[in-house]
Amino acid sequence: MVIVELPQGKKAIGVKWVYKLKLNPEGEIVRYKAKLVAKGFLQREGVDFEVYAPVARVETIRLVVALANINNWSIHQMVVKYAFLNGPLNEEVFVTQPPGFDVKNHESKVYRLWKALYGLKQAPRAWNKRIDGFLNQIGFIKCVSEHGVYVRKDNSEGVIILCLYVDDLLITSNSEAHKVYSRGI
Amino acid sequence: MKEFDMTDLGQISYFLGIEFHRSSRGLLMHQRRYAAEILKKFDMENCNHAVTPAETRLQLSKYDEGDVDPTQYRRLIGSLRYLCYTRPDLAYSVGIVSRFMARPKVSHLTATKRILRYIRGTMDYGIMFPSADQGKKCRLIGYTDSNWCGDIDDRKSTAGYIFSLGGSPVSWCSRKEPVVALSSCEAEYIAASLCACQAVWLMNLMDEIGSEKCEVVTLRIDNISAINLAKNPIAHGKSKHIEMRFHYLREQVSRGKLKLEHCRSEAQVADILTKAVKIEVFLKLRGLMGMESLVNLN
Repeated sequence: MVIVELPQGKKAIGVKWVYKLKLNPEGEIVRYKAKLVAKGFLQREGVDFEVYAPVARVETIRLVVALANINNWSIHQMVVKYAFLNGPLNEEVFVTQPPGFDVKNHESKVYRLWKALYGLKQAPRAWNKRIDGFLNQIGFIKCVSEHGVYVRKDNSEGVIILCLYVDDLLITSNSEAHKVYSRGI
Repeated sequence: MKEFDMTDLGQISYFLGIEFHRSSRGLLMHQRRYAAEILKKFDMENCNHAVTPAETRLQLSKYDEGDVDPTQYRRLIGSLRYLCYTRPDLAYSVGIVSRFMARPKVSHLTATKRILRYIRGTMDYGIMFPSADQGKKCRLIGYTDSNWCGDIDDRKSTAGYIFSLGGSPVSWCSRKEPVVALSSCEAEYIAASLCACQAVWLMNLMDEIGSEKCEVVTLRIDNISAINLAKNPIAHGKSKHIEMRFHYLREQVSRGKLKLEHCRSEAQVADILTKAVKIEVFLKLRGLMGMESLVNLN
């Protein structure tokens, strides 16, 4: 992001800090988390963004689990941290400076975002586009009949099946190749 | 350099609030934790158990007496619908109570509480994916059934279908048919046609995933006239009014994508998705469906 003067006719979206305590199973505090979120409710729907993002249907997940189980494949799961922060924005989005972190002498300026923030209406779609592009690049092909499933067919690595549910991924294959991927992509 | 910051959670154990338990007999997909949360949220932790989710031959109407708080009712239904992700045994009863979201009445809330009492006794039930023998050919089989004029307000029938792959339920549905059926044969025909759409989608998806080639799906129906209607392009007085879109079934059968088989009513697992059956029938069909309790695994 970059700090700029707000152009005429544009509106900046407010942001706020959301605090969360992470507890362990015994109820003790393990971590204090703070997340900067945009007040997405201030955005005008349909005017400057699209929101639809596909996820895997539950039937699909059950089908993939059943297929993997029948063939004795292991199923791995992984999660992308702070997924929405990865989504590049097509639209011009301006946000106000985060409370407590105003830049001295530039208090009236705003930030122009390059990537999404939590709370932005288009964040899920931006993230989906981002990971879709990336999966494509590494050889996964999106199924036509189900946009939440990607398949990679390769002579040496066999078939790898990946179910995508926002930032949760389920991955399995007829070789053990998916384990390499589950360690991180 | 990695593309994204990720956490590897290893072998699947907890995905989207659904728990996966592996044992020597197979993989059980259940939502025990979520079920316990629902009971807690709606103050039913210590309620008595019910053996089935709905009273036999229960009839609910939107014209019943006594309003209840709609917001709380909708919240409850929403929670139950998520629980249905691993619970085909609840699909029918949750489907029924979901029809009254607009103006819920006391009788509807009572029926919903009955579902909660059933859940209380069956929290650790889920879908079983049994360990398979290597190389065994797995088949996709659909069961389709319908009641007739089940809804006392608009006289529409309820369709139900369930697909089993290698003995585990993967896809199911219990919903009101879009039009009034004039005969039970027609109601079954419409149900089979809804089932056919899902069957074709599942076939396409399996084909795309490319692990299992699925040439033909078998649909089991317990109504011979409906099977005959789908196999033979006849249109006599009793069937000529059936809407075009429901003949999708006939087309898929003639193209050889679907095979229709008759099955005895006792083995019709989709029965549980179309009516509130008697206790013995319910328990038997629940087992046949491929549902299992965590307790029985260890």
